[in-house]
Amino acid sequence: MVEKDLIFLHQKFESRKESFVILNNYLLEKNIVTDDFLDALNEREDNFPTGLEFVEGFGVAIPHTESKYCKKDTIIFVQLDAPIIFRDMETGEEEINAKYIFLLTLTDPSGHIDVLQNLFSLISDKDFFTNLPKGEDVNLYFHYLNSKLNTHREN
Amino acid sequence: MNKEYRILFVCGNGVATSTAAAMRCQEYLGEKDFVIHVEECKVDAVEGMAMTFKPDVIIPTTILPLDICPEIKRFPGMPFMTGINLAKAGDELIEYLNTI
Repeated sequence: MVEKDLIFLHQKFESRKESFVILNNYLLEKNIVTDDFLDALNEREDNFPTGLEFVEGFGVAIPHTESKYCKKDTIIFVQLDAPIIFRDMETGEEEINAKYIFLLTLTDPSGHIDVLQNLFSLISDKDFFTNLPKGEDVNLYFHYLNSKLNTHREN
Repeated sequence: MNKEYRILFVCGNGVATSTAAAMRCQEYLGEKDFVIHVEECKVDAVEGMAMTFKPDVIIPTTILPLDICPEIKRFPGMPFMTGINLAKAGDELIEYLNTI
């Protein structure tokens, strides 16, 4: 579900809304989402935020919409040079400084349950973040993310 | 015979996080010989599901206002979604299920 051209490194956005606009434009161009994806994404994030910070200093956000706004199953990985503020998924109140965005487009979540479970485990795993590749090489990230997300879980 | 339980998982839009949490919860409790029926829904569908599915427990992975179905016991969704402290959360859930 991770693709090389869906990995965005060293991104700088003014705000969460700006990041969604720019990512949405790209996803529309690639025919991955429907025309109303952006509205759905913002509405969801306003009402049910997706910021999470399980490992101190490694806040993430996992924005996503209902399946009907998605045409393809992907995980878009965004590494932010300057963190963006999201609200906490569980409380809706605390502010999370997200350094990474995992934007999910899912036409059929139950068909990707292993990958999703792996993703939700990884965002609470300090080693996952500290071992992330450094630098500009998308290939390194692509292989790293794929190997982590597709690992067979033991439990 | 094992008693059967119904658990309702709730997320912001009925996909992804609740699916992952439901699967992990079912796996954990299944290993302990609990028979669990799960359903997933969005926040705005919880009251309807309370009538039709009649869950014993609600596990939200998102903000679920406290005035929605206050009579149904809730457990936090994050341990089931992420696997962090899964054993602790799973055992607390089992402890509760054993009392009903």
